Amino acid sequence: MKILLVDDDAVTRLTLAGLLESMGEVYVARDGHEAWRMLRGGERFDLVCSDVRMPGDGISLLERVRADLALAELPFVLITAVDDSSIVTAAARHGISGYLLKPFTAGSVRSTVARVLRAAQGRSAQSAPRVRSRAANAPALFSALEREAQALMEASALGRDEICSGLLRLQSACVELGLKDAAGQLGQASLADDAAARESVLKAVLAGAREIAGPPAVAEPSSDAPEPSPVAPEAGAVSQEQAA
Amino acid sequence: MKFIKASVPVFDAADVRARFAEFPAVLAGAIALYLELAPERIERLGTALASRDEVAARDFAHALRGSSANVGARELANFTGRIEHLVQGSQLDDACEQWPAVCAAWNRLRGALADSGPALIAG
Repeated sequence: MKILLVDDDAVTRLTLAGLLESMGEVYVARDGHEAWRMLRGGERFDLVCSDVRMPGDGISLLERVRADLALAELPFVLITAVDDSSIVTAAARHGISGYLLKPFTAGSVRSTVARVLRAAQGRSAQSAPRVRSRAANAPALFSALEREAQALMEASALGRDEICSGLLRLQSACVELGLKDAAGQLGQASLADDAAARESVLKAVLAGAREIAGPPAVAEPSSDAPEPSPVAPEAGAVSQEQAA
Repeated sequence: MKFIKASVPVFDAADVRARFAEFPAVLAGAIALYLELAPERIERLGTALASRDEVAARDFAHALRGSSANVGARELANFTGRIEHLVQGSQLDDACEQWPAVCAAWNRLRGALADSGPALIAG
Protein backbone atom coordinates (compact mmCIF):
# COMPACT_ATOMS: atom_id res chain seq x y z
CA MET A 1 0.00 0.00 0.00
CA LYS A 2 1.28 3.46 -0.88
CA ILE A 3 0.40 6.30 1.48
CA LEU A 4 0.91 9.98 0.72
CA LEU A 5 1.50 11.96 3.92
CA VAL A 6 1.10 15.73 3.58
CA ASP A 7 2.12 18.06 6.41
CA ASP A 8 4.20 21.22 6.66
CA ASP A 9 5.31 20.40 10.20
CA ALA A 10 8.49 18.33 10.30
CA VAL A 11 7.74 16.87 13.74
CA THR A 12 4.29 15.67 12.69
CA ARG A 13 5.69 14.27 9.44
CA LEU A 14 8.35 12.32 11.29
CA THR A 15 5.92 11.01 13.89
CA LEU A 16 3.12 10.05 11.56
CA ALA A 17 5.46 8.58 8.94
CA GLY A 18 6.97 6.42 11.69
CA LEU A 19 3.53 5.14 12.65
CA LEU A 20 2.26 4.67 9.09
CA GLU A 21 5.34 2.77 7.93
CA SER A 22 4.04 -0.32 9.66
CA MET A 23 1.03 -0.19 7.31
CA GLY A 24 2.61 0.61 3.97
CA GLU A 25 5.11 2.57 1.93
CA VAL A 26 5.00 6.22 3.01
CA TYR A 27 5.64 9.10 0.62
CA VAL A 28 5.94 12.60 2.04
CA ALA A 29 4.86 16.00 0.71
CA ARG A 30 5.58 19.21 2.61
CA ASP A 31 2.47 21.09 1.51
CA GLY A 32 -0.66 20.80 -0.61
CA HIS A 33 1.05 22.04 -3.77
CA GLU A 34 3.75 19.40 -3.63
CA ALA A 35 1.14 16.77 -2.83
CA TRP A 36 -0.91 17.70 -5.89
CA ARG A 37 2.16 17.43 -8.12
CA MET A 38 2.87 13.97 -6.69
CA LEU A 39 -0.74 12.87 -7.11
CA ARG A 40 -0.74 13.97 -10.73
CA GLY A 41 2.64 12.34 -11.33
CA GLY A 42 3.27 8.72 -12.20
CA GLU A 43 2.82 7.22 -8.74
CA ARG A 44 -0.53 5.68 -7.81
CA PHE A 45 -1.44 6.11 -4.14
CA ASP A 46 -3.89 4.12 -2.05
CA LEU A 47 -4.41 6.70 0.66
CA VAL A 48 -3.76 10.39 1.39
CA CYS A 49 -3.25 11.63 4.96
CA SER A 50 -3.17 15.41 4.89
CA ASP A 51 -2.85 18.25 7.36
CA VAL A 52 -5.32 21.12 6.98
CA ARG A 53 -3.50 24.36 7.74
CA MET A 54 -0.49 24.59 5.46
CA PRO A 55 0.40 26.21 2.14
CA GLY A 56 -2.01 24.70 -0.40
CA ASP A 57 -4.35 23.79 2.45
CA GLY A 58 -5.82 20.36 3.03
CA ILE A 59 -9.40 21.27 2.18
CA SER A 60 -8.35 22.70 -1.19
CA LEU A 61 -6.29 19.58 -1.86
CA LEU A 62 -9.28 17.40 -1.01
CA GLU A 63 -11.48 19.48 -3.30
CA ARG A 64 -9.04 19.09 -6.20
CA VAL A 65 -8.75 15.35 -5.64
CA ARG A 66 -12.53 14.88 -5.62
CA ALA A 67 -12.89 16.95 -8.80
CA ASP A 68 -10.33 14.85 -10.68
CA LEU A 69 -11.80 11.87 -12.51
CA ALA A 70 -8.74 9.69 -12.01
CA LEU A 71 -8.39 10.52 -8.29
CA ALA A 72 -11.97 11.12 -7.18
CA GLU A 73 -12.34 7.82 -5.31
CA LEU A 74 -8.98 8.05 -3.53
CA PRO A 75 -9.36 7.58 0.26
CA PHE A 76 -8.49 10.90 1.91
CA VAL A 77 -7.91 11.40 5.62
CA LEU A 78 -7.52 14.82 7.22
CA ILE A 79 -5.16 15.36 10.13
CA THR A 80 -6.85 17.90 12.38
CA ALA A 81 -7.46 18.97 15.96
CA VAL A 82 -10.62 18.14 17.88
CA ASP A 83 -11.70 21.77 18.08
CA ASP A 84 -11.60 22.47 14.33
CA SER A 85 -15.36 22.10 13.81
CA SER A 86 -15.46 24.49 10.85
CA ILE A 87 -12.91 22.32 9.08
CA VAL A 88 -14.95 19.21 9.70
CA THR A 89 -17.98 20.89 8.14
CA ALA A 90 -16.03 21.97 5.06
CA ALA A 91 -14.38 18.57 4.66
CA ALA A 92 -17.72 16.76 4.88
CA ARG A 93 -18.99 18.84 1.96
CA HIS A 94 -16.11 17.58 -0.16
CA GLY A 95 -16.44 13.89 0.68
CA ILE A 96 -13.75 13.35 3.30
CA SER A 97 -13.05 9.69 4.11
CA GLY A 98 -11.94 10.08 7.73
CA TYR A 99 -10.06 12.11 10.32
CA LEU A 100 -6.90 11.62 12.31
CA LEU A 101 -7.40 13.69 15.43
CA LYS A 102 -4.36 15.37 16.97
CA PRO A 103 -2.66 14.45 19.18
CA PHE A 104 -2.94 11.01 17.57
CA THR A 105 -2.01 7.65 19.03
CA ALA A 106 -0.51 4.63 17.30
CA GLY A 107 -3.83 2.85 17.83
CA SER A 108 -5.98 5.67 16.44
CA VAL A 109 -3.80 5.91 13.33
CA ARG A 110 -4.02 2.18 12.72
CA SER A 111 -7.78 1.93 13.28
CA THR A 112 -8.59 5.03 11.22
CA VAL A 113 -6.53 3.86 8.25
CA ALA A 114 -8.03 0.36 8.42
CA ARG A 115 -11.59 1.73 8.62
CA VAL A 116 -11.12 4.15 5.73
CA LEU A 117 -9.57 1.50 3.49
CA ARG A 118 -12.35 -0.99 4.29
CA ALA A 119 -14.98 1.59 3.38
CA ALA A 120 -13.14 2.43 0.15
CA GLN A 121 -13.01 -1.23 -0.86
CA GLY A 122 -16.74 -1.51 -0.28
CA ARG A 123 -17.44 1.53 -2.45
CA SER A 124 -15.14 0.24 -5.16
CA ALA A 125 -17.03 -3.08 -5.30
CA GLN A 126 -20.34 -1.21 -5.60
CA SER A 127 -19.15 1.11 -8.36
CA ALA A 128 -17.31 -1.55 -10.37
CA PRO A 129 -20.21 -2.39 -12.73
CA ARG A 130 -20.74 1.31 -13.57
CA VAL A 131 -17.05 1.86 -14.27
CA ARG A 132 -16.87 -1.34 -16.33
CA SER A 133 -19.75 -0.12 -18.43
CA ARG A 134 -18.06 3.21 -19.06
CA ALA A 135 -14.78 1.50 -19.80
CA ALA A 136 -16.45 -0.82 -22.28
CA ASN A 137 -17.74 2.19 -24.22
CA ALA A 138 -14.36 3.90 -24.18
CA PRO A 139 -12.90 2.48 -27.42
CA ALA A 140 -15.87 3.74 -29.46
CA LEU A 141 -15.58 7.15 -27.84
CA PHE A 142 -11.87 7.33 -28.50
CA SER A 143 -12.32 6.32 -32.14
CA ALA A 144 -14.91 9.03 -32.65
CA LEU A 145 -12.63 11.58 -31.05
CA GLU A 146 -9.71 10.53 -33.19
CA ARG A 147 -11.81 10.90 -36.32
CA GLU A 148 -12.82 14.37 -35.24
CA ALA A 149 -9.25 15.32 -34.46
CA GLN A 150 -8.06 14.06 -37.85
CA ALA A 151 -10.81 16.06 -39.51
CA LEU A 152 -9.60 19.14 -37.67
CA MET A 153 -6.07 18.53 -38.82
CA GLU A 154 -7.19 18.38 -42.43
CA ALA A 155 -9.46 21.37 -42.08
CA SER A 156 -7.20 24.20 -43.06
CA ALA A 157 -10.13 25.46 -45.10
CA LEU A 158 -12.27 25.65 -41.97
CA GLY A 159 -12.86 28.95 -40.29
CA ARG A 160 -11.09 29.78 -37.06
CA ASP A 161 -14.32 29.54 -35.05
CA GLU A 162 -15.02 26.06 -36.31
CA ILE A 163 -11.56 24.90 -35.28
CA CYS A 164 -11.98 26.47 -31.87
CA SER A 165 -15.31 24.81 -31.42
CA GLY A 166 -13.79 21.44 -32.24
CA LEU A 167 -10.87 22.05 -29.93
CA LEU A 168 -13.14 22.83 -27.03
CA ARG A 169 -15.04 19.61 -27.57
CA LEU A 170 -11.76 17.72 -27.68
CA GLN A 171 -10.51 19.37 -24.52
CA SER A 172 -13.69 18.37 -22.73
CA ALA A 173 -13.41 14.87 -24.08
CA CYS A 174 -9.85 14.54 -22.80
CA VAL A 175 -11.30 14.53 -19.29
CA GLU A 176 -13.03 11.30 -20.20
CA LEU A 177 -9.71 9.80 -21.13
CA GLY A 178 -9.15 9.36 -17.41
CA LEU A 179 -11.13 6.18 -18.02
CA LYS A 180 -7.86 4.44 -18.65
CA ASP A 181 -7.08 4.83 -14.94
CA ALA A 182 -10.43 3.42 -13.93
CA ALA A 183 -9.97 0.47 -16.25
CA GLY A 184 -6.49 -0.13 -14.86
CA GLN A 185 -7.80 -0.12 -11.31
CA LEU A 186 -10.31 -2.78 -12.23
CA GLY A 187 -7.57 -5.02 -13.57
CA GLN A 188 -8.61 -4.59 -17.20
CA ALA A 189 -5.02 -4.14 -18.22
CA SER A 190 -5.51 -4.64 -21.95
CA LEU A 191 -8.28 -2.05 -22.10
CA ALA A 192 -6.21 0.33 -20.00
CA ASP A 193 -3.18 -0.10 -22.29
CA ASP A 194 -5.34 0.38 -25.36
CA ALA A 195 -6.88 3.50 -23.88
CA ALA A 196 -3.46 4.85 -22.95
CA ALA A 197 -2.16 4.31 -26.49
CA ARG A 198 -5.20 6.06 -27.91
CA GLU A 199 -4.74 8.91 -25.48
CA SER A 200 -1.18 9.41 -26.75
CA VAL A 201 -2.38 9.53 -30.34
CA LEU A 202 -5.17 11.93 -29.51
CA LYS A 203 -2.91 14.24 -27.56
CA ALA A 204 -0.49 14.42 -30.47
CA VAL A 205 -3.35 15.20 -32.84
CA LEU A 206 -4.71 17.78 -30.43
CA ALA A 207 -1.32 19.49 -30.22
CA GLY A 208 -1.27 19.73 -34.01
CA ALA A 209 -4.77 21.11 -34.07
CA ARG A 210 -3.79 23.76 -31.54
CA GLU A 211 -1.03 24.90 -33.84
CA ILE A 212 -3.56 25.37 -36.62
CA ALA A 213 -5.88 27.39 -34.43
CA GLY A 214 -3.13 29.42 -32.76
CA PRO A 215 -2.94 30.40 -29.06
CA PRO A 216 -5.33 33.40 -29.08
CA ALA A 217 -8.12 31.36 -30.60
CA VAL A 218 -7.82 28.66 -27.94
CA ALA A 219 -7.82 31.21 -25.14
CA GLU A 220 -10.76 33.17 -26.46
CA PRO A 221 -13.20 30.88 -28.24
CA SER A 222 -16.01 32.27 -30.30
CA SER A 223 -19.36 32.84 -28.63
CA ASP A 224 -20.77 30.30 -31.07
CA ALA A 225 -18.55 27.61 -29.65
CA PRO A 226 -20.22 25.21 -27.25
CA GLU A 227 -19.36 25.53 -23.57
CA PRO A 228 -16.81 22.94 -22.45
CA SER A 229 -18.51 20.35 -20.32
CA PRO A 230 -16.89 18.21 -17.65
CA VAL A 231 -18.09 15.09 -19.41
CA ALA A 232 -17.32 14.35 -23.02
CA PRO A 233 -20.11 14.06 -25.55
CA GLU A 234 -21.29 10.55 -26.29
CA ALA A 235 -19.61 8.81 -29.19
CA GLY A 236 -22.82 8.91 -31.20
CA ALA A 237 -23.22 12.62 -30.73
CA VAL A 238 -19.69 13.25 -32.00
CA SER A 239 -20.37 11.14 -35.06
CA GLN A 240 -23.56 13.06 -35.82
CA GLU A 241 -21.72 16.35 -35.68
CA GLN A 242 -19.15 14.97 -38.05
CA ALA A 243 -21.78 13.80 -40.45
CA ALA A 244 -23.32 17.29 -40.36
CA MET B 1 -8.86 38.36 28.79
CA LYS B 2 -7.00 36.85 31.75
CA PHE B 3 -6.27 33.21 32.23
CA ILE B 4 -5.74 31.27 35.40
CA LYS B 5 -2.32 29.65 35.44
CA ALA B 6 -2.43 26.29 33.74
CA SER B 7 -2.25 23.18 35.87
CA VAL B 8 -1.02 20.86 33.15
CA PRO B 9 2.27 18.99 33.25
CA VAL B 10 5.30 20.47 31.53
CA PHE B 11 5.91 17.14 29.84
CA ASP B 12 3.27 14.41 29.98
CA ALA B 13 5.43 11.31 29.86
CA ALA B 14 2.57 8.93 30.66
CA ASP B 15 0.53 10.30 27.77
CA VAL B 16 3.26 9.90 25.15
CA ARG B 17 4.28 6.48 26.46
CA ALA B 18 0.68 5.35 26.05
CA ARG B 19 0.27 6.93 22.60
CA PHE B 20 3.52 5.55 21.18
CA ALA B 21 3.68 2.32 23.17
CA GLU B 22 4.94 0.16 20.32
CA PHE B 23 7.04 2.86 18.73
CA PRO B 24 9.57 4.21 21.27
CA ALA B 25 12.09 5.00 18.53
CA VAL B 26 9.50 7.14 16.70
CA LEU B 27 8.78 9.04 19.89
CA ALA B 28 12.45 9.59 20.71
CA GLY B 29 13.11 10.83 17.18
CA ALA B 30 10.12 13.17 17.27
CA ILE B 31 11.18 14.68 20.60
CA ALA B 32 14.74 15.19 19.40
CA LEU B 33 13.54 16.96 16.26
CA TYR B 34 11.05 19.01 18.26
CA LEU B 35 13.76 20.23 20.65
CA GLU B 36 15.94 21.13 17.68
CA LEU B 37 13.24 23.14 15.88
CA ALA B 38 11.35 24.69 18.79
CA PRO B 39 13.75 27.55 19.67
CA GLU B 40 13.50 29.09 16.20
CA ARG B 41 9.74 28.57 16.08
CA ILE B 42 9.28 30.25 19.46
CA GLU B 43 11.46 33.13 18.36
CA ARG B 44 9.38 33.55 15.21
CA LEU B 45 6.19 33.56 17.24
CA GLY B 46 7.65 36.27 19.49
CA THR B 47 8.68 38.35 16.49
CA ALA B 48 5.23 38.00 14.94
CA LEU B 49 3.54 39.08 18.17
CA ALA B 50 5.93 42.00 18.64
CA SER B 51 5.34 43.20 15.08
CA ARG B 52 1.59 42.62 15.48
CA ASP B 53 1.50 40.33 12.46
CA GLU B 54 -1.74 38.47 13.17
CA VAL B 55 -1.49 35.95 10.34
CA ALA B 56 2.07 34.94 11.17
CA ALA B 57 1.36 34.86 14.91
CA ARG B 58 -1.66 32.62 14.40
CA ASP B 59 0.26 30.28 12.06
CA PHE B 60 3.32 29.98 14.30
CA ALA B 61 1.18 29.50 17.41
CA HIS B 62 -0.86 26.85 15.59
CA ALA B 63 2.24 24.98 14.46
CA LEU B 64 3.81 25.11 17.92
CA ARG B 65 0.61 23.99 19.57
CA GLY B 66 0.30 20.97 17.27
CA SER B 67 3.89 19.80 17.49
CA SER B 68 4.03 20.42 21.26
CA ALA B 69 0.89 18.39 21.87
CA ASN B 70 2.23 15.69 19.59
CA VAL B 71 5.36 15.12 21.71
CA GLY B 72 3.66 15.54 25.10
CA ALA B 73 4.82 19.11 25.80
CA ARG B 74 1.42 19.92 27.21
CA GLU B 75 2.17 23.15 29.04
CA LEU B 76 3.68 24.76 25.96
CA ALA B 77 0.85 23.37 23.82
CA ASN B 78 -1.58 24.96 26.25
CA PHE B 79 -0.05 28.44 26.13
CA THR B 80 0.49 28.48 22.37
CA GLY B 81 -3.08 27.25 21.95
CA ARG B 82 -4.27 30.24 23.97
CA ILE B 83 -2.26 32.59 21.80
CA GLU B 84 -3.71 31.03 18.66
CA HIS B 85 -7.22 31.37 20.05
CA LEU B 86 -6.71 34.99 21.12
CA VAL B 87 -5.14 36.03 17.81
CA GLN B 88 -8.00 34.40 15.92
CA GLY B 89 -10.33 36.55 18.00
CA SER B 90 -8.26 39.64 17.16
CA GLN B 91 -7.23 39.99 20.82
CA LEU B 92 -3.61 40.66 20.00
CA ASP B 93 -2.84 42.56 23.22
CA ASP B 94 -4.09 39.64 25.31
CA ALA B 95 -2.12 37.25 23.13
CA CYS B 96 1.05 39.28 23.73
CA GLU B 97 0.46 38.98 27.48
CA GLN B 98 0.85 35.21 27.12
CA TRP B 99 4.30 35.53 25.62
CA PRO B 100 6.28 35.42 28.92
CA ALA B 101 4.38 32.29 29.87
CA VAL B 102 5.42 30.65 26.61
CA CYS B 103 9.07 31.45 27.27
CA ALA B 104 8.84 30.15 30.83
CA ALA B 105 7.11 26.96 29.70
CA TRP B 106 9.79 26.38 27.08
CA ASN B 107 12.57 26.81 29.65
CA ARG B 108 10.85 24.37 32.02
CA LEU B 109 10.35 21.84 29.23
CA ARG B 110 13.94 22.08 28.06
CA GLY B 111 15.13 21.62 31.62
CA ALA B 112 12.87 18.65 32.27
CA LEU B 113 13.86 16.85 29.09
CA ALA B 114 17.55 17.61 29.51
CA ASP B 115 17.55 16.28 33.06
CA SER B 116 15.50 13.16 32.67
CA GLY B 117 14.04 12.99 29.14
CA PRO B 118 15.16 9.48 28.19
CA ALA B 119 14.05 8.09 31.56
CA LEU B 120 10.70 9.90 31.31
CA ILE B 121 10.10 8.46 27.87
CA ALA B 122 11.21 4.97 28.79
CA GLY B 123 9.18 4.99 31.98
